[in-house]
Amino acid sequence: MDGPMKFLTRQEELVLLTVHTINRETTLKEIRRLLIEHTGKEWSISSVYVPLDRLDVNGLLESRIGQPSSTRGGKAKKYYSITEEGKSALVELRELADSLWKRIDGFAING
Amino acid sequence: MADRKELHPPRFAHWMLLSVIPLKDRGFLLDDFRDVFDEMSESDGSRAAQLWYWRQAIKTVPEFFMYSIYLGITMLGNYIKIAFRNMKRQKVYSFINIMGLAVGMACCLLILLFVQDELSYDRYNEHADRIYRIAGDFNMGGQNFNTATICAPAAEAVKAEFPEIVETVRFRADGSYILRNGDISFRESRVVYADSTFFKLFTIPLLEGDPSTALHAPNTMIISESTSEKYFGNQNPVGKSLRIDNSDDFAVTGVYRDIPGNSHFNFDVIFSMASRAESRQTTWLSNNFNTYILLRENADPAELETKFPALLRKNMNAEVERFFGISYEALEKAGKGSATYYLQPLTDIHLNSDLIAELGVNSDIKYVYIFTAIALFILVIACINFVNLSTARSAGRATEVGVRKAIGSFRKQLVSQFLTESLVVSFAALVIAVFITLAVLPYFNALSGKTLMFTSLLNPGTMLFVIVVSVSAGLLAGLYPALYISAICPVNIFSEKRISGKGNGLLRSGLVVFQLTTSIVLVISTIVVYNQLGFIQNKKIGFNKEQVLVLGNTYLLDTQVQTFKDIISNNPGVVSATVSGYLPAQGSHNSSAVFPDGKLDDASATSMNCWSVDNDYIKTMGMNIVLGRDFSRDFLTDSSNVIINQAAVKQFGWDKPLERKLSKAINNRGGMRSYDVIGVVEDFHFESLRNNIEPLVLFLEPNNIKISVRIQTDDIAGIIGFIRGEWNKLAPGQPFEYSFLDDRFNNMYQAERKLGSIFSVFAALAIFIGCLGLLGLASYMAELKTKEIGIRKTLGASDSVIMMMLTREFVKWITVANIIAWPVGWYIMDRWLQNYAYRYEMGIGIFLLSGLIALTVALVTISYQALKASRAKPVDSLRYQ
Repeated sequence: MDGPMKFLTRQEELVLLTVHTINRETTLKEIRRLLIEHTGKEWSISSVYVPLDRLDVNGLLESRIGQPSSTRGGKAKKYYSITEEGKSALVELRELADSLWKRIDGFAING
Repeated sequence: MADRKELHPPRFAHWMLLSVIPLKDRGFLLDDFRDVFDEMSESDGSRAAQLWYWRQAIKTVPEFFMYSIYLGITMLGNYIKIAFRNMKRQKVYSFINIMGLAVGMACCLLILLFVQDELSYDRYNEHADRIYRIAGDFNMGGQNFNTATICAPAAEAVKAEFPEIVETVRFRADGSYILRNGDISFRESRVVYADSTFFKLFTIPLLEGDPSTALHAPNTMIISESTSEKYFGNQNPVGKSLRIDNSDDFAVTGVYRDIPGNSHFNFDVIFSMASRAESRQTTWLSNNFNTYILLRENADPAELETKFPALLRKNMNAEVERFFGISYEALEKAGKGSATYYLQPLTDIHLNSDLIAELGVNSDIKYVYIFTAIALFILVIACINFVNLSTARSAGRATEVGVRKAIGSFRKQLVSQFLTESLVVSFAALVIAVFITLAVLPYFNALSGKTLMFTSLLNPGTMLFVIVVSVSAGLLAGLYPALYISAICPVNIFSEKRISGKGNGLLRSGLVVFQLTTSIVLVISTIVVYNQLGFIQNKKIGFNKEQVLVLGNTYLLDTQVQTFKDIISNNPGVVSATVSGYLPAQGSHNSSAVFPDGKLDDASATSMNCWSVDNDYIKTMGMNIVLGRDFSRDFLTDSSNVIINQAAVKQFGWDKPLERKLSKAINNRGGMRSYDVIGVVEDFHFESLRNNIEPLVLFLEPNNIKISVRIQTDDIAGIIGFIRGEWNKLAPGQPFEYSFLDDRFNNMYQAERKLGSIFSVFAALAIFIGCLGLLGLASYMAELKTKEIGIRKTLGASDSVIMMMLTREFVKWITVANIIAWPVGWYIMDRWLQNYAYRYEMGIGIFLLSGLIALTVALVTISYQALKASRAKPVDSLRYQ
């Protein structure tokens, strides 16, 4: 164990996971669409942006500003992608959750 | 395609979003909003889209708002972390910077305390804004008097006549009284008579007794808490009595809380005015009562003042006619005499009133201004240092800046970083300043004669002020280097051209010179003040103040005064003794109208000091008779003779004074007596050297208030013991009181001594802060020139040549500072010396001395740095290529 574990909020976790599933760099628009689709809840733009940005600032995601596209009057877009740190944070969380769930299942088996 | 207009998101909702959107991703987020809006317009229609946009806006605003704050805080936290890291890296420089600023701030805090206290005088009174004192402006035969006292009947008269006056109270101060409770006996000097309406005007809580009756009856008194403790210990004194001056018993009817320090009057004992017969007088021509009035709400004091002349005319007329034979109006018209009453707001008295018969020693608003100016000066110097050092040192961080710029740090971030650093330093300095202030406060209190407490600064108004000022100072001081640094072109960093700041060298030199100049001016001021004090000490004052013992209360010896004096004079340690209440030290004022040469008309009346002395006075005081003779027991007619001083001779314009006479009134009914002038005494100073020596007439008349004894012995304690022994034989149980004439004399110059101390403290501070600044600059310059030094040394320059090169610029600055400081210092001190009728002349020596001090201190400060730099091995300094 190296250093204190950084805890993610629920929203951050979901956002990070979503970015991970996309498996390439993506935009806020796409992430939001997927989240709405999967959770069935209406996510406001800001409720996606805030966790997204925090993850970016903390290094679990990285962002770059793309070349101005030929469509949309030449405006640039911001792309996010997951970092190695982000991946390992997700893995850590999952393992932690798994080990705790194993204990619960253990109870179930043993009654 | 639908109408373009309908495709726009609702304006107000959009505006809401704009105001809270985080700036760094503004464009992207707005685009995303727009995208979804457009999609929705297409799929669900414009109404749904608008609705959606509204919902978004409302949900988003608080979220973005909170997030922006969060971002701001984390960024600030980051800057602060870096700021501390930088401070640790440059420990010495940071320490110098913080200390310099802290000392400056501590100065300001102390002066803030002082000014706050001075401005708060008398405001503890609930009705302070409606209380006024009636002061008098009198003109009599060409002489003008401004008094804080007016006549006894005025208070009642104005209350009856003017409905806007709710209540009045009078004080009658009349020197000191001896109080006794059994064995406990002291002379109390803070004593006054007061009307029973005292508590109606002034908010002094009465701890024991009833305020509505306490000062009613004659022969009653109220005392302060501390006084009660002194005479009665823990007991309640109400119902008991104290013996006054060994003759009367006054009943104590109340104990009041000690009057706060910030009050223009301060009494330990208050007698009821009913005890004083004089208070029932009806004369309007004698002025001994300090009279205060309480005005109705919304009454106009200026309007009231306009009614006073008519009042005075009405009431003074009868007496004026009796004494001068003409009506008051005629007297006024002839310009021979007039009387005016005017109102002084209570809160104005402490700082602005300097009349005859004040109830205490008032301050002057000038001091408030002077100290505020000094505080600002010192703060400015500290800030200048701060800016100078920051700028200089940030040049040393050029590398860091260059790198950061190269990887695209925004200029704004850089500025924020530097600003944060200087704010951190500011706050650190403020915290340290608070500790310094707390530590120094007792000494400051001793110096200023006050009892200031730090807690009086802890009110929201003042704290806000202090914090705002510190923040502004930090921001302003940090802004200059921040902008300066962030404007550097990064290319220069990696080349050899370091920032020499030639263009800004002028500003920096200017700031240093300003600082040095202020320090030198303060040093000059201090030297002059101390020189003037020395001049006062050593000046020939016309009498011999050394070794003269002054015994007080000698009237208590009653008929045995002469016996006592004779017994004492027989002691071999005593040269001579004299009985007289008049001393050649401040406070012996007694002016009467004197008429020269038997001319008894008004035009000839001259006001002069008239003292009652005995045969041995001039001898005991060591004064010189320059013409004629001293009083002598051999001449029985001497009781009709007088001795005058040279100033009196001048005033009368006599060239053969010994052939002259003068006349003086001996009672209130116009009775005159003529005196022959038998001698002229050399002028001696009996007031402070601030004043010219006034004319004086010495009469041979008994006045046994004091006895002055000239002693000549090494065993002072022995003589005092002897005299005390004789006193106790003749006046058993009476307090024996003595002082030394030279002490009394020196007390006149307490203000000057204080001024000298204050100036030297400020001078030391300014020099200290200046040195800190110089130290910082010296190390910067040494570092800057490291390479140059290395090269020169390789080419064969010796250590001392290098030293000279380094110090040359400093010497230049000091010279310029001196050139500016000398005329400024001369002008200021010349103005101050104008206050003194007798002063010494400022010689060139003072200025040379100040300049020398500045030079020495500065050189000592920078010598370490210069030495270190000049000794550096070329190998090391040329390494970083």
